Formats: sequence, C-alpha cells, structure tokens
Amino acid sequence: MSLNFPHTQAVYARDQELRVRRLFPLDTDVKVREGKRVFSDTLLAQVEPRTVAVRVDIPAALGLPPAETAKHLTLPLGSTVTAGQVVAKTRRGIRTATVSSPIAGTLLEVDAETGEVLIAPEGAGQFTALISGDVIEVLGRSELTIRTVGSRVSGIVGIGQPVIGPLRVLTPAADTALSSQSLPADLAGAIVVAGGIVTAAAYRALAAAGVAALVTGSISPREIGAAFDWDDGDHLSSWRPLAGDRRFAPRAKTPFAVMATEGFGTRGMSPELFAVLGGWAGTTVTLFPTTGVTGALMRPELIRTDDSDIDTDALPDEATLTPGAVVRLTDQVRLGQRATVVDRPYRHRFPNGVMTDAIDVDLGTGDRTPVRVVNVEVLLVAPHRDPEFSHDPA
Amino acid sequence: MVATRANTSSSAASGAQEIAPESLLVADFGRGTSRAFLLEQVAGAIRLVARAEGPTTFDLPFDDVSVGWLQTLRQIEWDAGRVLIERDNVLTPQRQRGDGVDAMLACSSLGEPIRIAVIDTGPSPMLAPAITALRKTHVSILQASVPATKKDTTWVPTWAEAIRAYHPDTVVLLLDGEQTFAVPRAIQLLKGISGSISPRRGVIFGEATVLGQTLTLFGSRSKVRSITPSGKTGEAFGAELEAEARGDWAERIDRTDLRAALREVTGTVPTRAHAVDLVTRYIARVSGQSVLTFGIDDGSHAHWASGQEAAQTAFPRLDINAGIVNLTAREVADAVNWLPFDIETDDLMTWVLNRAIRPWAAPEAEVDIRIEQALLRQVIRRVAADLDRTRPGALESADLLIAGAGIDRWHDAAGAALCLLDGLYHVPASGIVGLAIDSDGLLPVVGTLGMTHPAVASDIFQHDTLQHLGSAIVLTSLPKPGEPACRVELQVHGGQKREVTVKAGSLVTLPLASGERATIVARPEKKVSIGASAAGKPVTFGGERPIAGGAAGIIIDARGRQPLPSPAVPRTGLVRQWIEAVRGAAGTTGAERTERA
Repeated sequence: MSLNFPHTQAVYARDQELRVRRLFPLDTDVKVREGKRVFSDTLLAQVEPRTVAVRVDIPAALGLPPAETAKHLTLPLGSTVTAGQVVAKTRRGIRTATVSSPIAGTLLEVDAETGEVLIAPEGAGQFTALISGDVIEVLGRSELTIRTVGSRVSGIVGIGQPVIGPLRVLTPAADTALSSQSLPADLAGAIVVAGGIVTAAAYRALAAAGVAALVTGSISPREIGAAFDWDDGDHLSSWRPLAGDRRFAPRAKTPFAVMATEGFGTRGMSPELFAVLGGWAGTTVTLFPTTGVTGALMRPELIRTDDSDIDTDALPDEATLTPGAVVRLTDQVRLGQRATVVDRPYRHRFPNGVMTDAIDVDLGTGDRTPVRVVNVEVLLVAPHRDPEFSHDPA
Repeated sequence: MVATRANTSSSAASGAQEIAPESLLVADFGRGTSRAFLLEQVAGAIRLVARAEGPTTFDLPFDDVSVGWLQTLRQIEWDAGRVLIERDNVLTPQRQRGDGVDAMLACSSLGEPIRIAVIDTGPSPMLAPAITALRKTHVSILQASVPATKKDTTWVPTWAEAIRAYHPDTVVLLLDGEQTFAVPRAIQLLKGISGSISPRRGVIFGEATVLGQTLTLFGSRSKVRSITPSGKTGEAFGAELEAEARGDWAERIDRTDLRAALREVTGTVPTRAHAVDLVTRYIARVSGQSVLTFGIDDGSHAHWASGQEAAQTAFPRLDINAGIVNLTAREVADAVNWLPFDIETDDLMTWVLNRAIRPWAAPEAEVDIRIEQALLRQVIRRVAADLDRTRPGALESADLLIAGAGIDRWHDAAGAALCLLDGLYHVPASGIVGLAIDSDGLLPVVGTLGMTHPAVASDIFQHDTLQHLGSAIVLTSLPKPGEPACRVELQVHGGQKREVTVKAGSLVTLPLASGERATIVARPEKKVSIGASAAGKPVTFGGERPIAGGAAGIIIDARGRQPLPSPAVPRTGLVRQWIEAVRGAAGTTGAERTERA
C-alpha cells in the first residue's frame, strides 16, 4: 500500500463525505444497526467491563497466596477508586505494604484463580459515537462504519481513546515548541494544537491542565516516554503492536489522547495543516487516535462536522497525483518535505536500476525532481479542485 | 501440449506423469506487496519471461485484493506484450493466438497469522513435531514451558498475562510431561486465562485422568478436542495441528475478492515460508550441500536443509517493514555497530518508529539504505539464533547462504553480500560459504511450482532463480588488529594468479566472476584457523567442489566472528572500509548512484 491510506482522500479533506471506522474489543455488544442516524452522545456499543478491566496483581505485590487477596482489600468490591488510591495492604513486620490502583475506576472483582484484582476504568465498556452521521456498515461484533460530512485532517500516529472537545491552538507557528510555562488556564477538556516539539515538561503541564487531547507535528519518543515514565528498559515496547491487537502502540499510556501529523522526531507540523487547524480554533472537533499498520490500516484523524451537513451529497475528493497537488515526501531523509506535483505518474528507471512508478515534483526550486510514488502522500488536492489552496500558504 | 486446470491438478493428485504446461502464471500475495510471474517455454525449458509487482490492496482503502492484483497483471501484460486477463479473469488455458496461460498457481502470506499458544509440561515426543508442523503454515507461536520446580511462584501469573495479551486463536496443551508439579501448574494457568480469552480451538494432549479437569475450562465458543497418548505419533499429531491451522488461516482470509483472484488457481496455496522451505530442501538434495535460506519480507523465516534433514523457523511479525518495531530496543541500538557514520541511538529509534508507521516508503538516500541494511542484519541475527536453537550446528554446517528478494531491495550486491555474512556470527566448519541472492523473489515460486509441476520448478530454479554473489572464507583465532593473519593465493583457471596478505580486523576481496573456476590456497598464520581446521593449517579450496564466484567475488573475512559488542562501540571507519572493500569488487553500487542522482 502507499499514498493516502487508509482513505483515498488527501491528508486534508475539506467539506466532503467521510467514513469513520470504529473498532471495538472483540465480542462487543453493538447497539446500533445499519441505517441508524447517530449523534455524538449516541451509544454505539457496550462491552462487558471485565474484558477491559486492568488487572492488579495483589498476590505478587504483597507476597500473598491468591486466596488471601480478598482479606487484604481496603475497599469493598464495587467501590469507586481514584488513580493512586490504595486498594490493598498488609503488614510486613513493623511496616505496612500497600498496592495502589493504577487508574480511576471501579473495583470489579477478585480473580479466584490468580488473586488479581480487576479494576474497570471509568465509563469502561461504553462507546459513544462522538460524531454525527449514519451507520452504514456493522461488521460482526467489533467494528462499524459511520458516514458523515465534514472536514478531516489525518495524522500518522496516535495514542489513546477517541475524544470530543473544543479546539485550541497553543503555538503561534507550525514549528514553535510548546512552552510548559505559559499554558492558558482554561484548557480542561480541550483538544489542543501545538505545532512544534512538545517536551516532557510540556506533556506533564498539559496533563495537569486536564486537556482531552494534543495534536502536534511529531512525537519525540524520548520526551513522551520521560513525561509518563514509560522507560521499562525497552524504549520500543510502548509502541510495539501486541499480537492479536490491531492497534499500533496499544501499551502507550497517556492521560490524554495524542495525534502527530508528521511522525516521530522533532519535526514541526506541516504549515498547511497548521493553517487549517488555526481556522478550526474554537469549534468542536473529534479526535479518533487509533492507528493500525498491520491487520487493519487506520490513521488517527481529527474531524470537524456540522450536523446540518449530514444529508448533503458531498462526494469525496480523491487524492490523485495530478499536477498542482501539494504532496509531502515520506522517505526518511526527506520526511515531511513539501513539494508540488509537476506531471502525472510514469514508469521511471532510477539510477540504481530500479524501475518503478515515479512522479516529477517541484521541491520549491522550480526544478523537476523524480521521486518514487510510494514516497509521497497528497496533502492537498490540486488547486483547481480546491481553490482555497491555490496559493502557497507557507 | 496445453494442459487444462482439470487434467493438471488431477495428474498431480494421482501421481501420474506430469502434463507439462507451456505457460504459467504464478501469484505471490504478500501483505504489503504482491508479485506476478509469467513463465513460458523457451527453447525447451520453462523460463521466467516477465515479472511485475504492486501494492497489495487486501486492506483499506481498497479492501479488495483484486484492485491491486489486476493492476499488477496489466503491468505484466504490458511488459510481456500479451493478453492475460479477460473480463477481470485470468485466461486459462492458453489460447491458440498466444493469449492467456495454461495454468495459474499461487502462494500467499496474506492476513494476520493464526496465533497459537502452546503450553507444555516438559519433554514430550509431541512437542517438536507439533512446532515443526505448525511452522509450515501462517502461524505465530507463543510457547510456555512449565518449569518442573515448585519454587517459581511467579510463572503462572506472568504467563497468564502474556497469554491474555496474546489473544490466541488456538491453545495447545501438552500435559504428558512431569506430572507432580508441572501438569497441575499448567492446569492452573489454563484456569487463570479461561475467563478472559476465547480461543477458537483448544487441543489437549494427555492422560485420560487429567483431561477431565481441563475440557470444561475453555468457553462454550471454543472447539475443544482431547487426545490421549496411545497410538498417536508426534508426526500424526503435528499433521493434525497443521491441517487445523491451515484451515483456520484459509477461513480467516476467505473473502469474495480473494476467491475471485484465486479462481483460476490449481492445487493448494502454500505460505511463502512453506514454499521457501520446500525449495531449500530441494537445493540441498540436488546440490549435496548444506543450505541456509533467509526470507525477510512479510515477516521473517529461515530454513536449513542438508541431505534428508531440515529445520526451519519463522517470525511472522518481524521484518524491516511494519514489523521492524518488533526488534528489541537493544537490537536497534546495537545496529549502530554496522553503520559507516555516527548516529545517536535516539535517532535510530525514531527512524525505526517512522518506518513502522510508513512501512511502504522506500529508502532512496544512502543514509537510509545503510540504516536499513544495519537493521536487516539484526533481523537476520535474531532469526538465525532461533534456528541455531532449533537445530544446533545447522549454521556452522552451511555451505551456501541464500537471501530472498527482501534483501535485494536496494539493488546493491555488495550490501546484500555483507548483510548475509554479518547476519551470522557462526564460523562455517569448512571455512568457506557461498553467498547467493534471489533478486526476483522466485524462491517461493519455485517451491509452489514444486508441489504440482516439479519439472517446471527445476527449470526455473536452474536458469532464473539465484544470482551468485560470491564466496566468503572465514578466519578465526585472529591476532591483534593489523597483524598478518593469512596469505591467500587465487588461481583463476586459465587466468591470472593473485596473492594477497590479509590482516586481522580487515575484510579483503578478490575478484572472481560467476561461472569462473578457480583454486584458492589459504595459508593462515600459526595461531589462525580457517573454519574448523587446525590452527596454522593451510587449506585449499576449489578441488572437489568448485568455488562460487559472483558480483562480490571472494571475500576473505578476517574481522573475527563474534557476537556484536553491546553497547555498540564506535567503529564507523572500519565499517566504511569493509563496505568499500566489498563494493570495490562488486562495482558501483546502487547506493552510490542514488546519491549522485
């Protein structure tokens, strides 16, 4: 695969039909049928809280036999717990050993065999639509697709759960680093945009401010790992997909959702995308951060819709490599570099002997440079199809 | 003679004399890239006449494998100048006017592998045959061996968590090992996971007395069967598991679009890994050599065969595309050992993560190519180490190392030769090992053909499959770097004689083209050995068995074969010298030319 997976639309798709794919854990009870109109608060699916509960190994932590876990709990089953609250304790000589809950949620049960305690996260097991549209496909008990009309900015990697909230832009430019010192006071529940690098201190400040999500240019693995104590000796483990899980980075835990538009590293956000998000400031947007590169191709996406547009017939604009289309290069040395398509794709023999599909692009110098088709993605469709970007926003 | 689907498959099934087709189309469906090969009779033998590859469209945005497949077929039609498809179907048999093909075959690694958790209770005659058989299919295996000691109290919760996270499609329980501690603990583990996983299948092997305790532990949605040890051989047990896994995989990828793409296919559709395993065995048998083959494409697999013996290993989720993130952080950091320039470990981690999220981007700049080659060496090392555990001694015995198409994505013979050589730190017992590459990705094709058209497979293998890169002579017990290690004389038959003194820590190449015959006499210094030979003993190569030359010539490796220094040590200058040494023999590389472009 190449180009603009998993959709055939450009990275920025404006005012057109969008299809939003929602994945749930296996064996979810899907509550809606094909054809149903849904709104952001419509319950789409529900799963048994036990299957999404976090397991806390009390016997291992306190050195107890599994059968004795229940005796050492500090709260009755069914209690609500906050993250960090002590859920079990025992005496060890003159000291008391304790185990705290890693998440906020409900104390569900004690596993009779292993003695582990199951804690279901707050609101666990309920999946709301977070977007208005029509359910057009329900696939088994773990997946559905919603058709809506609106605008979308696709990211390339995301972490966390889908969220909805007002969009706030925190940096003045696409490549400005986010300062942890000068965050506005009222960011709770907001989806914030920071174009340049986000340091560990800035990640922590955003968590303290209670933001719902961060949209940024790139994720620095070192900074985000340092912010949320991911360092378990294997710096890649948080990002590694688990066998049986279709998501990239299912173990990466952050207090808020994160989407990067460019990738990993310190690269700032594409100026074009930053300009688009600047135009969305103050509106309510939805972030679906799920990313999949094996099994089910998914990119994180930030979507803005207007309920009154759902019934309009806005056919999607296909991302094609037509002259004038704005693309970015995706091979690692030139990752994120902006270019404009000069001519249609053709077969080209590169100097190393490889014969492959290529296009000629203008890297801003006025010259034609052949690049492999697999190494470009369309940011914006050709100007005649999207007059808003007939000029160079940079 | 034009064969039809019906008579070709029936003859193969009945073992009757093979009806030779005059033209074939072979499809190789991969998760990222699919390839089509057009084979046709040329001067009495079936030869590769055209090849095309394109993106696989099994996943979104197309969600229809036929979109990419038809595009690939149109490309091969254009290249070959003949019509192969009519109304989106492959034309079979070949028409009088020359359009279409007589038969179509396919192999595939589409879809997620079937996840199988194997819980064993110690040595069992069933275990090895089960694992070997399962690896012939598209599976990933998580093996939990119960410790026989009572002390390890964390074993059950640790493995329960691992298996829960793994979401196995099948759980295989081998309860015929140690009965006092191990079997009860395996049952305890099964109880621990039974409420939170819902495997499609459960297979329990053990005495009747323990089976009763386990059968009810799987959920009502699982198909559970039990087997008692009486009368069941390991091979029969393995064959049953293989058939089930193959059936589950076929069901997983059974979609209308794939059925349409495979409509004209005759015979079974093996996995890429199984097809390469078959051809590795074939090469070993016909050449009388010990052969080691690596496939790093969609996942990684390694195969060893010598005479009638064989072994294989597979890591379906580890490769240098999306699976690159399954290298450990340590393996990525140690890849710095193979780079001719400085790079921070953090930058290398970032490179790996960016590759994982854009697995279809192709490296174009030299920096990217070198990083990819360094990481590829690490993947080969992981796979080779597993093969070494599966079959001790296999790596040392190898006479010929073969790399699949994934190792030639840079069109850089020198780079491929070095990757193969550096991927192993074992010393070939004979002191010399041949290096070859399958540039066109024909190994799975030959393996697939071999199942129904062995004569055609033989033709394609003989004429089109391998490009010999050369041979490597490996020195051990080396003195300090820079001190003389060995004098080598190369006498090309009917040509020049060349002599070179090789210093410890260096890598020297002598040109020997593919097809040229030569004799090499290597005279090591007093304490230096060539392969498993005695220290200081001269060795002559090229007597009974011809030495394979090729694009990289004869590489004399006096660098010392040992595990990588970890953490990595700066040796960019040395690595640059090694690359230049092999590149000099192979001529201008793709990387150089790309850089100039």
